[in-house]
Amino acid sequence: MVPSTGEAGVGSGSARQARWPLRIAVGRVVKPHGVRGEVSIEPWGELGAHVRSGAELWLKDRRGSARRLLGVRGAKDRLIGTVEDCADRDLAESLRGAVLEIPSTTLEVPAEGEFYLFELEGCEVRTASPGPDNFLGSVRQVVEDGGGLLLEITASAVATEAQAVYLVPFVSAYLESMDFDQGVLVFDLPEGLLDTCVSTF
Amino acid sequence: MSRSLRKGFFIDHHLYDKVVAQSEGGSNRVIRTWSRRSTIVPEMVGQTIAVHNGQKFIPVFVSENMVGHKLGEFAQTRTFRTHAGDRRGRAR
Repeated sequence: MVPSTGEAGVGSGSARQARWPLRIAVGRVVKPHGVRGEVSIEPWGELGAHVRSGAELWLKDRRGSARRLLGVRGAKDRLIGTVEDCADRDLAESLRGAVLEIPSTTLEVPAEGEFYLFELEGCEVRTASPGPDNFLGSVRQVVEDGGGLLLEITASAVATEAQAVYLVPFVSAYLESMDFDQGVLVFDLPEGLLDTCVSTF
Repeated sequence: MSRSLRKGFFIDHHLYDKVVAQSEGGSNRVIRTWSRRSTIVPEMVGQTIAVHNGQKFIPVFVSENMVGHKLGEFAQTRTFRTHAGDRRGRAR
């Protein structure tokens, strides 16, 4: 068992990759499988491609400790994984809900205009108006609603009891620029959007 | 059974009037509506409609592909959180 690494990114490549977390969550353990300590994993993204490429796979449980995944095989829409130091069903049961992670260094830099969804989280959001008052907040979460991507932006105003959360559609019509090296998104938002689409926790 | 073509699409008139006025005026102000039942019409394309989901307003940027659907289809009433994982995106 290896202690889990933190969320802070260390960069050896471009500034963009330096902002990435060390590991990216790509799946979750749904239940134990069989009596030999295997687990059934629900993949979230292109997990199959990472497995085929031989990427290092880790399971991080709820206590934050990580175990290496020794092997993975396909089973319908899920994957069956063999975990290091896990030989019986009881141990596998304790891994229920654990998150499957891969090192972010195994991900390739997206093409021009593309991005990973996790890159948006934590980005600073500014409006196009000049001046120091253009800071809107930072992206808390990316929501995929029926109409496309929505950014949940936490207002950076002075701490109040109920913090405001803005919903902004992530569309090129409103996006002035996005700089993933600096982690800054600049929007030219339509009139009334921030007043209308605001809620509190 | 589908809606009769003779009737045409349904849209609440109070919403349609606002959309047409904004489309002709060329302004880009967000329109708030509770009318989830209204059909998305071509005049809405490029506008942002804030559709109420019972709790708050969800901004819907209307694109050509949405024409013919109802506004409520794009403002979910139940929370379903997906995980970003390693999926990629692109501003549409």
